[in-house]
Amino acid sequence: MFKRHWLAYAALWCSGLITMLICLGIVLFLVVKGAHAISWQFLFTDPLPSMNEALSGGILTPLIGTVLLTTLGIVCALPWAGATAIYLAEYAGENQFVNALRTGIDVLAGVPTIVFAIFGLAVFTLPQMAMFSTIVEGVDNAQAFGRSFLVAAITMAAMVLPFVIKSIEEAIRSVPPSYKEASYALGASKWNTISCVILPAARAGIITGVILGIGRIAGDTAIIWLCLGGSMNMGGQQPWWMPQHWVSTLRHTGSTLTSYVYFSSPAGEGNSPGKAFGAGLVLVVFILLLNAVVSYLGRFTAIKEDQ
Amino acid sequence: MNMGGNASKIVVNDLSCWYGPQNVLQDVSMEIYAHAITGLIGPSGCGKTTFLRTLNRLNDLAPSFRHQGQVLLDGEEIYQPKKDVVMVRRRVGMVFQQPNPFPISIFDNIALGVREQQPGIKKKELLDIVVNSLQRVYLWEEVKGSMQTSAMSLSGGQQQRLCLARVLAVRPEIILLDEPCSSLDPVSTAKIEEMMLRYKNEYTFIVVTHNLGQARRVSDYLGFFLNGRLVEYGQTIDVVVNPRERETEDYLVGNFG
Repeated sequence: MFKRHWLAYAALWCSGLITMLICLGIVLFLVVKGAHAISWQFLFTDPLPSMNEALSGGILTPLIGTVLLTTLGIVCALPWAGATAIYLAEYAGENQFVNALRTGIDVLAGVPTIVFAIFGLAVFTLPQMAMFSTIVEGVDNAQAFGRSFLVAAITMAAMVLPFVIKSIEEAIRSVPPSYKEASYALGASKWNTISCVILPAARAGIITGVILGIGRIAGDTAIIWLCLGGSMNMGGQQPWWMPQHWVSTLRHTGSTLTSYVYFSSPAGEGNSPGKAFGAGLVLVVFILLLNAVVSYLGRFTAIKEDQ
Repeated sequence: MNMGGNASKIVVNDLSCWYGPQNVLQDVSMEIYAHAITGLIGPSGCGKTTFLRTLNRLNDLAPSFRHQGQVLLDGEEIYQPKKDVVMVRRRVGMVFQQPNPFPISIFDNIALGVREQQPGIKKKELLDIVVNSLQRVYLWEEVKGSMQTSAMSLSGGQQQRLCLARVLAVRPEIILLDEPCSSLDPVSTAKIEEMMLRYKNEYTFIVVTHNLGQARRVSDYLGFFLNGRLVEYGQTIDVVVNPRERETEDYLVGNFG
């Protein structure tokens, strides 16, 4: 009896330890291999197509690509997810349609991102969808190119949708019912109660959901690979940062930190391992910072509810 | 029956209520008089809070709630199918047992309801209403320098007075108070009682209380509930000094509670 107890204890303890070691190992490995690559120059120059690591430039456009894509993706996903979450938490009730919707959301959460990517590509290469990317010239059947920041952002939005819906719905449901009663007792309508009382009270939880969504978008590679395309730099009219070229930039290909890692690593298509690790490190720090914000917000609300 | 000469504001006829299979009110008939304070007393679980919440249809939020009988507000059935429940609640405001200010600023707590009912109200008018409401609950002097701070930073007694102020601000005809002072200090309790007595000519108050002293001090009419029935109802002085029913007397002298 005592022996079995001791064995179970050791097994649990080791499992925990191994998980921690894997996490620490990845971060340490990235720091050791990538820290020396990081400098202001690395962060603020464009990547150059070269097999010589010293001449291959920095990660400015992939870094901006990551920020641009996460912003666009979450801007697409938030109203969509928010409306669905409000419907589910406040209006839906229990019936066949709502059950189907909930099952659909669960299924969506389990779909691998490469499937979203293929689906996105299939939809956005339809010639009617050319406004989101560009039309392919010189082929017999009219077809859109189907790869751009807009296409990738919309596909990303669909991918994070179930996660953002669930966390926003959770946040809305955890608002104390006394707020709702108080609002109704003042003669407020249902919509005003939701928009003026419940959503502000659920703000911290909603922000948490948004940040989790951002983290998923920033870390995804399959959708980038298929829907954003295979160039290191911005594919639209140059210079890409001029306001009159913004639309063109959004409708063309580009890169993010995840695709940069692939294109610069010898395991992928490049020959700049130090820079690939450097970019990986920057990405991990970006996501860790987001997680730190989440846990800070979580603690903040916990304290507020205690009072 | 008209006791004491006030016009009747709410008439309840044979009201019975259920939560699922559980019968919480049985055949309650009661007339609530305008511009008076009506107290409702009785032991925990006797149905007085449920009764209060039928008067502004707040029980509608519980999916298993069901009722029979009539609730007439100025002669109109508030439960008729086409009745706009939001309009009923604008006429019948409510303050709860636990102070429940919204987690926003003190000013916005009061402005929220006013802005909804009077969209496009001028800033000056809004400010007047907020200040006036805070003055009525004797809170203005305590918070006038901190209108933009969170209502959550106030003490329990201050929060409850804020909740009262935010109801006063939307000018309902009737204000329901569900044990408003049960978690408050004596000073805040006294201020709330003073407010009710001072402004009963503008509103009609219905207050559920566990505190017999409070019922005696403020109410003009007093109803005693037991096991979902209204056992006795009349002018406070009569009910307290000379109860008709044995159960009322037992409760008043403290044989149970």
